[in-house]
Amino acid sequence: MKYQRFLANKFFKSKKHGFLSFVSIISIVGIIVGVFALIVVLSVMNGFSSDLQEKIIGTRAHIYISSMFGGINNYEKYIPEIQSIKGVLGVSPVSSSEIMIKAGDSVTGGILFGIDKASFEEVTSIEKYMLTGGIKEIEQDEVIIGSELSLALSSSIGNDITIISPNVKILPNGSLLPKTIKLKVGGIIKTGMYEYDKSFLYTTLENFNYLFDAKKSSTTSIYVKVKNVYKTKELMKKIQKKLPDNLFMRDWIDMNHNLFTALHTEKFVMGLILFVIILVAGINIIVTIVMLVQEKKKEIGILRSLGVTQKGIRKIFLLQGIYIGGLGTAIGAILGVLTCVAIKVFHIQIPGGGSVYYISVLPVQFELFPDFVLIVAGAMIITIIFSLIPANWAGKLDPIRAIRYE
Amino acid sequence: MNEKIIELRNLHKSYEIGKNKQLEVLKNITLEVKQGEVVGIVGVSGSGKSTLLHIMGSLDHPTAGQVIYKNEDLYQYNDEVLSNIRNSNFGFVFQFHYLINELTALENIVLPAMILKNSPKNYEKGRTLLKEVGLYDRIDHYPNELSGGELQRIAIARALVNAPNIVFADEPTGELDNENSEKVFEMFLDIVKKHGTTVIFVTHNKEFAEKMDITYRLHYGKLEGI
Ligand SMILES: Nc1ncnc2c1ncn2[C@@H]1O[C@H](COP(=O)(O)OP(=O)(O)OP(=O)(O)O)[C@@H](O)[C@H]1O
Ligand SMILES: [Mg+2]
Repeated sequence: MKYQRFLANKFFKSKKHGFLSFVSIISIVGIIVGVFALIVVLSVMNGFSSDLQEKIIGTRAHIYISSMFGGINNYEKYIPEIQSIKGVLGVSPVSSSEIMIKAGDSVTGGILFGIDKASFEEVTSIEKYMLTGGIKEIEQDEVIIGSELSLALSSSIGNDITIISPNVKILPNGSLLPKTIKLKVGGIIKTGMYEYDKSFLYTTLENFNYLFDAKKSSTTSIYVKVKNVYKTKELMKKIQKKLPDNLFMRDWIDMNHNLFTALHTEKFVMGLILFVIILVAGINIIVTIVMLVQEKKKEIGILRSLGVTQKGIRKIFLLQGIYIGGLGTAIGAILGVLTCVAIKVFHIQIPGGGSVYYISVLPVQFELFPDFVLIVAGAMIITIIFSLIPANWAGKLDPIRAIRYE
Repeated sequence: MNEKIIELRNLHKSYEIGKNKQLEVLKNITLEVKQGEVVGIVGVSGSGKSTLLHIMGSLDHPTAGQVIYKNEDLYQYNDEVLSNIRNSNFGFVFQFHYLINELTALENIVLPAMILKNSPKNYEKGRTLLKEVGLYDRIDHYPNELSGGELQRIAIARALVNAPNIVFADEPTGELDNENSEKVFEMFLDIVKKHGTTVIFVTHNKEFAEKMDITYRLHYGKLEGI
């Protein structure tokens, strides 16, 4: 063992001024807390974001084709062409628009989807969220509504609701007559996303087109489901070649851009805030080593008289900091990883989860790179930088002062 | 016994005390020490003996003048070289033992050897020296488990572990009672004579001074032979 390590170990183990001393413990605990919190919080945020992503990818289309003006006419023409592209799993016309719903005395707003029940299932997996009824079984005079909407309208299976289109006729006497259609509730769906369950309604494309006076073979958009959700951009280029110029595309990433940006920003800010804990612990390390150097002034003088260089002294005290930081980081990292494992294994329920939030158990996703590596490396770099300051000072101490004025 | 090993040339040292006030401790000191010589330095308290010893041992800087070790000016060297000379060519014994409390007797003795070079032989050398100073049975004792005389004997062994050319001793027995003091001194003298080590020995003790090869008195900043 090199003498620097030998001495650093001996000093570190010393009860009075070593790692068991009050200040060292505070520094170590500070780093433990910082590293632990960073690992756990960032892992939960990762879990949250990937959970959300999974939900979005799983339930909704991956590519949306729409027209720049009005709807897409003769959609049947494009569907087989898109279907034939390699990597495309399903294609389906889906129209959507805001509408009003009236049931008994209650009136509320919503978004009506007009779907082709034969192919809709190929582009979404909402079938598994059906509480009662099914997309495939939907009759011409039926509508599927979200669970929250069902509550708001107090309308259940078999009840009639009236859908009012914003598409209005002006009568000869000047009054406005909106186009309406009366449908029977044929199914109830619950995705767990409150916004969806509160406002989404599904009926046939024919009903939709009737309501909006649209041509029989028109749709507002075409949904595409693909094999590799991370290769949508490449597929979009291929699809575009088969479509006229007035049609354009967006993928699930574009559609949820704000959401993912927000999640990303949130994670960054959270990481920054928690990193401050490590920073404070790092400042603690300065104090710890300054105190240690004060206590060891005499020893520094002795070591210098025995031929230890300034560099050697610096290294001995730098090692003290590295031990403190290393110990704190190691314990914090182990505790953090164990906690992540525990969250995963024990399925911790979120209070009020499921009804208020779209998830009911705390999600967690541990990421070795970059999160874990950055946290550990960051903690160690901070430790080293903050240790270097007092260690440098220790190296520059005048040996004779240390020996004379003990 | 005729090779010149260390030499002082027109050495000055003054301390700044307050504004524009200088305390001149050493005034134009010139001295030649030969290989293997045991040199005594006496003088009243505050006459500058420790100051002189520290400057000779490269621990403190002179205000003017030179310390020539093996024909080279010591203070031209950088920290790296100077530290190395202190480590392998010089040994120090101070009035207080200055052992490292966290290390055992053996570890304290071995430390300068470790600093020089990491070798398994170091502990062998340490054990031999422990025997030489008669403390082999205290090998694993920590400094707070040793008596004053024992501490000084360990400190002497530590100063000798790298077989230095010169040992600088600053009243190494100053803190001991008469009997102990004499024992430690005799032992020290025996060992250095046996190894042929050059010694600069600061002391208050007249009897000790008489046993040196040559003794100087530091008097008003000047060295006078006695
Ligand atoms: N850093 C300093 N600043 C100012 N004066 C100092 C300093 N160090 C030492 N002195 C003074 O220099 C003089 C010589 O000190 P030194 O320690 O060399 O004396 P000494 O001969 O070893 O004394 P003693 O026998 O008591 O050990 C003393 O008067 C002391 O007060
Ligand atoms: Mg003195």
